[in-house]
Amino acid sequence: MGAEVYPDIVRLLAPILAALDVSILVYFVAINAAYVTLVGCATGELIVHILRIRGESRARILGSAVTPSISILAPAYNEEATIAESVTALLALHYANLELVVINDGSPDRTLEVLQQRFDLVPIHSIVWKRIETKPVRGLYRSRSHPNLLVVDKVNGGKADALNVGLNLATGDLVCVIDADTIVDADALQRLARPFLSHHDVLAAGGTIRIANGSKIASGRVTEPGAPRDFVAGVQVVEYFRAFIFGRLGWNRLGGNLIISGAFGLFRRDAMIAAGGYTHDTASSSSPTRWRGPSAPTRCACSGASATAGIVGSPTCSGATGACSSIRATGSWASGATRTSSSSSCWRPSSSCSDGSGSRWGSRPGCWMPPSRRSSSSSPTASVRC
Amino acid sequence: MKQTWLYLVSYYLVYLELALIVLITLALTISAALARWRTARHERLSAAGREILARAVAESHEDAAAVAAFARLPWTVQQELMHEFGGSLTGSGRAQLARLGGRAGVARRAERMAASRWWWERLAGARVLTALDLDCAVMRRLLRDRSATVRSQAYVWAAGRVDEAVIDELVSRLADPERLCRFTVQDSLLRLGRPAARALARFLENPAHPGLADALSVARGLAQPELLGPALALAHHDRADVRARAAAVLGVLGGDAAVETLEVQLADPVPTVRAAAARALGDVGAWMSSSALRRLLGDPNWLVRRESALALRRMGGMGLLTLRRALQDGNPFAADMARQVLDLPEAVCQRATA
Repeated sequence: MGAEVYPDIVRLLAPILAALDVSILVYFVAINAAYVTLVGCATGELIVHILRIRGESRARILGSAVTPSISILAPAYNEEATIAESVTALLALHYANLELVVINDGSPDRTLEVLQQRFDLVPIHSIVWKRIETKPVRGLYRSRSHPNLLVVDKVNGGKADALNVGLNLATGDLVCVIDADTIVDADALQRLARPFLSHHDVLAAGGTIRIANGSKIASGRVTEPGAPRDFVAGVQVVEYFRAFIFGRLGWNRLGGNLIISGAFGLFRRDAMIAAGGYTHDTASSSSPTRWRGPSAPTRCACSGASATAGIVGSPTCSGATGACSSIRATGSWASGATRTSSSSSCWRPSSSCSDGSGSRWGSRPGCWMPPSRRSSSSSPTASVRC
Repeated sequence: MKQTWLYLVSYYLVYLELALIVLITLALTISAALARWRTARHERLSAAGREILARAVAESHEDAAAVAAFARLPWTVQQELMHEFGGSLTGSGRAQLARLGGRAGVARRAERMAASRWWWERLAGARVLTALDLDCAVMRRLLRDRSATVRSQAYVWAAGRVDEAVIDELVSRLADPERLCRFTVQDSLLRLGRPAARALARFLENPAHPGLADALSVARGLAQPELLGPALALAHHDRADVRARAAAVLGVLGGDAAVETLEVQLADPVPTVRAAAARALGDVGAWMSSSALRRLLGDPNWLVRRESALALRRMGGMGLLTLRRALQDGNPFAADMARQVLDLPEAVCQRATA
């Protein structure tokens, strides 16, 4: 009927609509092909990983005198209710050469007092080797009952600043950055340290984060994994699974991994310090951690364009975090990922590369991904976080 | 209205998608049910196998029926149980496990796998043979395997072999290009202990070797007197990392010659070497060197000041006295560091220098 009334308009619109149809079809075919490729890569990576670790004894890593030492950096702000349990759980992680640096980021509540009472802290003269500029440190405390615990009290400056203070004070070969609300498997550090033992060019490794809602938790450990009954939290379980297993592992294979989750990650300390630590402009405390750029540390490490520096996602090493049950904020990860991609870590001019050829991290949009062997940057496009 | 080809494709695509969704749902349901059944079966068989192995190890003998029952278990279950028991047994228990594994055909199959052309099969075979602690020719060949993962597993196996040829091979692999292999070699040599010291000393006598730094890390862990000579020589090596690690070795070995060399190293132009030398003097407990360490409290490098202060603290009476005097030092850096280290609880101080 319409075609009879407006024949000219229909004749004019028909090819445009057909072209639009084709474009949409092509777009979806392309994006699904990309997803299928990513799934294929993730599957390949997972299979190889399983074949490598099947029957492997991690006791070797636990009991060896040559495993690298690890410093855990745990920033805390207003966490008087949970800090004692969190610190106890971290101190009980199964790793031989472990140091825990708790940074009280100017909490107005009783976080510091709780720590002092629970862990028998004594103040020590507060001088700090300031390799990274930070807000002032008010005090340093050592525990008489736990020699590997160091507590720092500092003026509030945000998570990045707290982590930078931790970096200044840490003494381990590797630093583990962890959110206070992340629950970690007891042997997670042994698994996460594995990539550093396997390849000399690994700068950072991230664990697989899962949602703890619905699981049974006792003494800071997940004793019985379970699924949440709530719909929104359930959706997040799938989303985390997609992001960590399918996304990051797939990018690992393709050499495009750029992000280590702020909830749980392990980094080479010398590389972090050489890179200048954390920047202060990350989207939020729960957004993916941004590191000022892997180009600086590799300047020390590689002598030519062929050297690779990798960021690794570990598929079997898991931490768990809580998800909220209502949609309050969306896109925090997405904005974090966008910032990460568009900021200095990826867009830094290539003059900072070791060989000066600019072959590793170019400044052109088309070549912003480092040609590392392993990596991951597929953060969710929209995410729900408490 | 005339249907275009695009309309037709879209029309049938809907049906195709619906069919795909139904098929995928069906496949997921079936695979979930299968996985559940498989897990239950695996657990049942594992429990049965575990009982057979536990009885055989406890009674120090295995009857034919038990061996036959174990041999009937699926290969994956046999493998898992071998890893589980092999990792926690030593001595006669492990020998008994190896006997049972041999009689049940596990060892033969593992050897066959270790000779496979596929790296994952070689790795799986090597892991079973390591769990059984069996000395066989195929494992010696794997010490030079082309796959780093397999090679690394062979080095794990070698940690249980006090055999000169194997130890020499291990030591030569300290310069392996793969990080994983170098780590495993270091660990295996440390586990071998004293028998590895002579081969390591020979390795350290060549100052041009690329694996010197890693070898010195092992030497520090072994702390055997035959390593003193090479460590003294390497304390003057061109590379700073080698000099620093040689200092660490001298720190655990001690003696007049070591202290003398370490005091010379305190004036090294590289801060990490000075710090390592200070730390080593603390390890030795060389109180005669306290005045030299006191001077280093004013070093421009933080690490050197810190290690010197910790070394003095560990020396006991003389070192503590030196640190207390440093509190009045005109150099505020020296005074600050002395104050911080004196504030440290004893347990922290011991750990920091361990």
